[in-house]
Amino acid sequence: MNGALPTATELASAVRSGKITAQAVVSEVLAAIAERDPRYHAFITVLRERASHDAARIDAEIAAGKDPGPLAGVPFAAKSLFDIAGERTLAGSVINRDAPPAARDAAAVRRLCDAGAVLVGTTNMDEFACGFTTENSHYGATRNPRDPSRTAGGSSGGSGAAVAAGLVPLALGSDTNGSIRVPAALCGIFGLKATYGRVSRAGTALFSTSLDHVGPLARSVADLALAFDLLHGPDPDDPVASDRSPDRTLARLEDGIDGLRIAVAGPEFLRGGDPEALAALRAAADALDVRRSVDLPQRDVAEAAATIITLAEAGNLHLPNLRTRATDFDPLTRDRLLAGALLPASLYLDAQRFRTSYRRRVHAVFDDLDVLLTPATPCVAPPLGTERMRVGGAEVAIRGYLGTYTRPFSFVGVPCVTVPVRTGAALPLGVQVVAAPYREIHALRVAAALEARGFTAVTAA
Amino acid sequence: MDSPGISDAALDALAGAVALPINPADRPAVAAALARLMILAAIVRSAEGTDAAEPAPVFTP
Repeated sequence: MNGALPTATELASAVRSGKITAQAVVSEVLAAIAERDPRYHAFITVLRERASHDAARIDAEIAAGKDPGPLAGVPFAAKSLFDIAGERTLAGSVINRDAPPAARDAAAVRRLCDAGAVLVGTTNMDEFACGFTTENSHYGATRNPRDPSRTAGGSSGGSGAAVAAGLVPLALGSDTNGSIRVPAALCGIFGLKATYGRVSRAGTALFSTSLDHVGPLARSVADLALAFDLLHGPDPDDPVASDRSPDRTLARLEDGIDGLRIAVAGPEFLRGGDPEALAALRAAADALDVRRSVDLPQRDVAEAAATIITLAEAGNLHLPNLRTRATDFDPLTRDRLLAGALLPASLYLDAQRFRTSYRRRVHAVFDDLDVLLTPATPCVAPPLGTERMRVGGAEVAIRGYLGTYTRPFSFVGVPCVTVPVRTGAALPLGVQVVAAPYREIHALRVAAALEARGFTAVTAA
Repeated sequence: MDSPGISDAALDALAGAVALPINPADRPAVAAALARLMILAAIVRSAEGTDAAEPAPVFTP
């Protein structure tokens, strides 16, 4: 490999054809992590021994004439909430240091490894996924590869930074309210949050069970589609996993957008963002020749209800440790988890009841529409340590506000892709491409069309 | 000292109901976080068109 790290599909093709060995790829990636990650602090654990062993196994399979799979020799990283056999699942906490090592890999990790991918490390995150900035008091902050004085977004910020920095071509993250989509946008890469229940969460440290998703971050739409194809499908080990038959999206990316009904979400999704975030959305709509706008009201209510559900479920999940060792929680998350644990049940149920209504409304929007476009974030990556700043003409608590456009869609479980946008600004921005439940292919086709038209701009750190 | 919107007595009652001791140093931040959640709850409660009789105990997208 010379220069920038190739995409996952390019790497796998080179390994499978014998142009390069998996061991050479992994060796180069491990060296790059050692040399460059201190600038970004994307990684928490580097799994040198495991990665080298797995790469040697891939090469041996190829030498024996076997096909290791479509991700042969592709290095990837996983957010530190995925179980890794023999490792403690820290989830950005010190509390989990006391837990026993995981007995086996999380389902999502296993599925990628079964396809030939090689896990090289675990990545930094907000403690227990409770945040949008990957500012972690225990493990330090992850820095944005495009501007290390700024956040990489969160809570999958380590995964976002690792991909954006070119340390790995593919990473796994989780998304409860935007934790894949926000770092993808702020780091200038692609991210997919599939339909709720489509990608197994078995073997992950949950945050808010009725909202938690897991999924990939990557530098190309083809990599995102390939990862999704491998990751999704029924899993009896995840009680919310869908039993719907898997789709194959990679082969359909070239279908283009003919026949897809696309609209911009407005007017509520056109408020509250900085001009450049809204300009990026307009530019994406222009690139796709989208002239239609669809009203999706009550964004503020959806955000409010999603926040209540998130913190009530998270507070209850962590209640035993909050009772006995609250001081071991990150100060940036502790007060919110404690408050969530105290919420009366009727407020939680009111939020869940609104969720049913909002879901019906979102479904109705998709009755005569296939894809909805919104900004992914309201602004570019804020400087690390920022608590309040002006965005969209108002002063906001920025750590929570970064998810203002993503929360309403994870709230109802519909699939979304973040597409990095080519703008005149120095820092990345993203557009959120939203589709109807189980129609990931629609969002991916739109993302591929934007990519093919040269509209996207993946960070090259 | 009481925080805006959440009295000391209310915080004690809620914490007592779930057997959750709150460190004195954490009380102001927890009360503030709870007050913010109460504002969000009021937004949800006052929302028009919440016509669902059933909440979503098992959520399906």
